[in-house]
Amino acid sequence: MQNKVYLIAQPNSGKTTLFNLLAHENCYVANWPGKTVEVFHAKIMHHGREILLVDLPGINSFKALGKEESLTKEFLLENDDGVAVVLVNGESLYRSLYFAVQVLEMKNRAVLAINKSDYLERRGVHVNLEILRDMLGVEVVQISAIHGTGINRLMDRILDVLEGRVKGKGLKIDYGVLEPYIAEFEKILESRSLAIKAIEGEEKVIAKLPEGKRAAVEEIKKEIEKNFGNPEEIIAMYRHRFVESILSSAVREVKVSGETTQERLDRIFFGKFGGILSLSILFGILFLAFTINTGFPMNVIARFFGHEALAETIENYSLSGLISLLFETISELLNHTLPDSLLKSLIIEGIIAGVGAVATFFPLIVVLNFMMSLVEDSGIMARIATSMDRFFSLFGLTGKSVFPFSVSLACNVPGVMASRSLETDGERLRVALASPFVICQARLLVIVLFAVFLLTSPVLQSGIVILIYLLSSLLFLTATKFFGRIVKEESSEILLELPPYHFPSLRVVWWITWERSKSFITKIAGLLLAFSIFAWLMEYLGLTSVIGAILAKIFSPFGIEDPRLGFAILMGFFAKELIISSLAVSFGTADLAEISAQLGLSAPQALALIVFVAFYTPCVATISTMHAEVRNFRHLALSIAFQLIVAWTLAFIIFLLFNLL
Amino acid sequence: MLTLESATGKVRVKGIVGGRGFVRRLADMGLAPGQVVEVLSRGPPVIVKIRDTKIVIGRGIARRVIVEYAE
Repeated sequence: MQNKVYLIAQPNSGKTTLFNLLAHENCYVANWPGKTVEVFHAKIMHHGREILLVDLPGINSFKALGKEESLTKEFLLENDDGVAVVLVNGESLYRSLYFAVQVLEMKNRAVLAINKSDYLERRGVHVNLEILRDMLGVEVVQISAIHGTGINRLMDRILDVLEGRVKGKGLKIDYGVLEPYIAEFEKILESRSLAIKAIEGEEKVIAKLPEGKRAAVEEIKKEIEKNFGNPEEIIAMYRHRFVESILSSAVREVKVSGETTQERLDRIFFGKFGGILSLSILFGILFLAFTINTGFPMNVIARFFGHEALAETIENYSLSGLISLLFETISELLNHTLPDSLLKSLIIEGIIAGVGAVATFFPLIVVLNFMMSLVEDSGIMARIATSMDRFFSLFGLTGKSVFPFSVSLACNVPGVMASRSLETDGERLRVALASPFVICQARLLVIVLFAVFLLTSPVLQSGIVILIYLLSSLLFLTATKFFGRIVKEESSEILLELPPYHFPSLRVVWWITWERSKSFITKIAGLLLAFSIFAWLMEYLGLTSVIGAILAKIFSPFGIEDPRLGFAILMGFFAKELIISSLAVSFGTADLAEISAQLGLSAPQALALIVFVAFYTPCVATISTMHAEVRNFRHLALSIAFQLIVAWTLAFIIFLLFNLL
Repeated sequence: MLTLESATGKVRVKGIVGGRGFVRRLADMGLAPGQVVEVLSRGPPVIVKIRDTKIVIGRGIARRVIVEYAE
């Protein structure tokens, strides 16, 4: 394939907007060969020529700590003759030119695109593209991806390079005192750009050298170290000087603006009440997502103020209310039309139930993904992460972890997915594996119902719910520490750009939302469906009571031996909300007070049961998502086992304590 | 020794103490020896402005950036 074009940029530079603009509907996701990172591809046409556009993940640095950087590095270091389109962020010219320069040192088949020209115009910043082209040795265009200006020119320049009409000169930076060493390296490596990378300590370049040459390289590096100090530092210094010289000769700033709205907003975020503001935004989002999804807690509030009819409307017209109504209607319809058979039972109780489970998840995931990408695209996410950093750093996490954590409060599935936004592989893994300790909305419902019907004392009822939430936060945070030991990365530090605030582009936000939610369907739906059919099969074979009796043994130290509870726990593994419906089916009544009377649990027994239900293994959907993110069976099994042990131990401690009282 | 953790106002980066790749990671974020940065908030985390870009830096990282006051 000769027509490959790679988009390379740092986060916040508008790469997604540009890709979305160029790709239209022709994009698809594919795994990078040999890596678990997903990369967007799109086949586009320009002047009758087909081009394969590859959207490399945005990276902050070539020495970042996530797996994304290795993709970009692979492209830069291998002999890939695709054209690199380096996107420079107009809002952050200096930093993003420093990044771009490193790409141009490696690739001369490249085009430089300065994005956000509208912002530059507003700020009165003028960039002389000719001077830039002469200094960098590649074609330079100015674009605004959000307004679609300059895009045709960019495509023309890309075609020029692809078809060989324009040949890049290759960027040569003067590294002063290091030049003699670079020349020496160049002889060994047969490439100036690789020589510079080797001096910088790029492992991938050094690793490829044969044994003898590697020793020679180490020898020269030692000499540099002795004479001038850390070679990484010296290279960075010269490169920064070069970028400074570009800016001073090619960029003119006419207007100088005073304090802007930007500054005022930042003063609020980083002032005394920044933390409270951040938390209010997060909880506002959660509240909205909860209400749209199930009507809770708006229905409770309406009821509290005496608006019974309003409360019911909220419940019935919430997304999950409508969807479950739809699936009930379909099952009813099929029940009447199909003749009784094994197939009918499979379709209604296995397949439709499974599809229904996926469908009830989907709206919550779309809503949360949408709101999270709004927060992300507007620049607010970086502020919230910053103001939360002080607290999370106590546990070796960065403030960005507040997002997976708070999304998990609604549902662990998008929570685990949100761990992807973290900077390092280590932190992602730690947070993803610990996420199930966060009590999701489905579990909250079960816990509240159990507390109300199994316990008589109002103090115990509310006390246990509060205790569970406190324990849950504590367990999440300490579990990230525990998993840090396992993955050998115990603490991460924040290093983050604060992009200017701006109104998010709804088109891009929607696109991101849709792509993320779609990946939920494709990755997890199959598994959920398979589990649902599996559950149906067990029920069909009459194995459920046997399994229930075995599982009930877990509770025998607490003096609980009801196999129906054991089976309900098993069903809770498929989806936590099934615990209640499964109890209703096996007790033959939907009246929870009646079930509670039949169970006849003492207060310590009930408390132990509630604590266990709150923390035992996450649901199948969460496990599937964790698997999709972590891709490591050992870590996954460890996380599940850890949860089971913790849940049981806590239940046992509560049981003992309350028996002593 | 003055580091970015304790500095205020405008400072110049003198050096970065760190293992392999650490300097490169910071340089790509805009922090390199010779740069003049303005400390906006001592946090933690520290917030600095380097030309047109604002960067948030964790305390542990800031401690390893040696600076001097720019006149």
